[in-house]
Amino acid sequence: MITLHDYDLSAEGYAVRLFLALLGQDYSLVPVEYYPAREHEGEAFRALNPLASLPVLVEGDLVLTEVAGILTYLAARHGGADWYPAGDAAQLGRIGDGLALAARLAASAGAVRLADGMMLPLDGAAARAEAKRLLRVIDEHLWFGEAAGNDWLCPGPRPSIADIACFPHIVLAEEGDIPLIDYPAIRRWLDRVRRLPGFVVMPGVFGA
Amino acid sequence: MSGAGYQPVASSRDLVARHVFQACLSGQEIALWRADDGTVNAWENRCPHRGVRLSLGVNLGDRLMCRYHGWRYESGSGACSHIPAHPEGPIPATLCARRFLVAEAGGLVFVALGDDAATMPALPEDTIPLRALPVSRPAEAVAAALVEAGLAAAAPLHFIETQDGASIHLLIQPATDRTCVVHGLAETTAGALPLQRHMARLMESRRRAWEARP
Amino acid sequence: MIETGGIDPDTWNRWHVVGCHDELPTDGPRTTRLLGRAITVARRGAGADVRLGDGTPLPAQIAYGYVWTSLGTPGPLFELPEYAEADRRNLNGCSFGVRTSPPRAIENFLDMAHFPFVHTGILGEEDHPDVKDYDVAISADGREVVASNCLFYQPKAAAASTGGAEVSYRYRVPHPWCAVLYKDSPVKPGRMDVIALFIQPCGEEEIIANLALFILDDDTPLPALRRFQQQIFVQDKPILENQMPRRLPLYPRADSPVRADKASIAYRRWLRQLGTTYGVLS
Repeated sequence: MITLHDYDLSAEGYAVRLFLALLGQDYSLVPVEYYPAREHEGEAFRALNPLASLPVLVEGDLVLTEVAGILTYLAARHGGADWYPAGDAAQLGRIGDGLALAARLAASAGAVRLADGMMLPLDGAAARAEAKRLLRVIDEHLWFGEAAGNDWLCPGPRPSIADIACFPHIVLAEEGDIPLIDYPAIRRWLDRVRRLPGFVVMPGVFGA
Repeated sequence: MSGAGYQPVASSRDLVARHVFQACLSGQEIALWRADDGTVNAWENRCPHRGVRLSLGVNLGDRLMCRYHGWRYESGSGACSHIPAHPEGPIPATLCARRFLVAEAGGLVFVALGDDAATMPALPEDTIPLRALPVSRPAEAVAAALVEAGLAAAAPLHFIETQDGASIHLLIQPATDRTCVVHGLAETTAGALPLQRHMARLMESRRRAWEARP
Repeated sequence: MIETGGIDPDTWNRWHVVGCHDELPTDGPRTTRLLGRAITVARRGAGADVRLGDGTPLPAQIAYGYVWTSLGTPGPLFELPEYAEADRRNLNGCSFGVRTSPPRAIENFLDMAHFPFVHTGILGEEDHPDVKDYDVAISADGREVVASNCLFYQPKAAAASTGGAEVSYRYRVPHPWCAVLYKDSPVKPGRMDVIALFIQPCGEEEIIANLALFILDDDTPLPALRRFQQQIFVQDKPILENQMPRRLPLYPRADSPVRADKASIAYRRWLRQLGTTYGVLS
């Protein structure tokens, strides 16, 4: 049985919850109050994850603490060829790039969203500028993807975990005062993700 | 911005099925959506009920639904046709999304904010639209930079140049007073994707220079 | 005397909430904003010390679990007698920063018609969207707006709910930016839970929304109570941040109200009576 230690309003956690839902995987959720209690910084939680970050996925003896690792594991373990192209080195490389891009989004768009909503200290202008730089690159990438008949971040007929990892930070970016009006290809891609069978929302995200 | 005539706000292929495109023209936000029958709607981007952006809403194919209270507005007329809180009605006949004049030409979508007899800009025949580029500089500043670079001006916000053997028309959409979007039309029919990539790199490079100016 | 900067007298001379007392840091003052000015809020035992950024002390009081201050000369704060009832649990459900004006947030709190679309499966569902007629009035002394006899079908009205129910609501707006909701308790039939929205007006288009709970529920653990309120509040956030204009329009025909919006109509009329110009478009 998969156990997910998570906070409802965490964009990173949402990536994992969304992927579990798309896979149709059952799991048990252990709520951890990131705000205001900062339960993830307590001793009990640090015993599970010394990084004091969310989410954490536990299955048997395996403990995973980063979205990239969790999504990769779930894709390889439960996703089959649809989600884990085991023999396709180039595609695995692209997916790895996409997961790293999601981490950059988390550190910029994701951070400023949390700081604004939860009154945490942050250089918001720097975070927004970095998010804008990333979103411009992603929008152009998706625009040329559409022109070539590709709907997703990595070429191919199906979405990958790169889409799942990036989606939460982008769909929630406006909460951090990062308007999406200048990224029309991204806005169409958000709609495509929303229409995936099994898609679930989190507070602040609307469905299709 | 009455009297400015039709100005580009999107490309036709931006308006995919069951999507609501968000645009801004001279400070006026617009929700643009194509109905399943092909009708293009350009509405003020706020629900007449409580002002929520309609670009947050759902394109139902023949109607647009606001996210806040589920009110539905008909394609074409913009008339409100459903208020879930009062399923028995009646719905006031005046309850309507505010519409703007909209037209498609040359693969682009044009909107006129004024109610007067708006005119379309003169466009070349047989073109493909390029990827539009939002720029964090006012339209006038971008136009001045293009003049400075020696591009031929066909109109205050319309420039022509030759790239990779194709004539390129650059049409500048004033978005807000601080930002604009540069649309491109290429007079070509073959080799579209390499030209698109060439123009994307060139425009991206120009944008970096424009935005670096004080 | 502090320079008002053109802020209307009613707003200037009110008490405004500046944070939950229990959540003030223990290692120094909290820096925040009130009516466009930087302020600090420091814990002083059971009380608090509130100052402008330049060190000027401001009046401070603790009420209903929160710190309240004023830039002007405030009268008494509104009454909330349920806070003192012995069998209630009083807590801060959540505090979130939102990019909207104070009255937009209050108006959303008074609105039932959005429950099926924004709080789907919790406070409403799309099969039960109808808002039945209810009563609304500005009190005879002009000090608050009251909406009563409100009924709405809710699949999960509270953290302690075990199923859907037709829930009755009553609203009070005793302060331009504070609203109090009384709703049927799922635990104690015949009694009402009290949920209040206390808005800290950081700026005209920048608020911190505090949801205060005064509820009849001895069993649900605190984190679960907070989790329920956080989920609901954050569902409203994208709506509030996408309302144009951000300031509440008080001029005629700005919006298109219907019967379900009676509370909003009365609230806007009351703001006009008070002469409120902060966070609104007149």
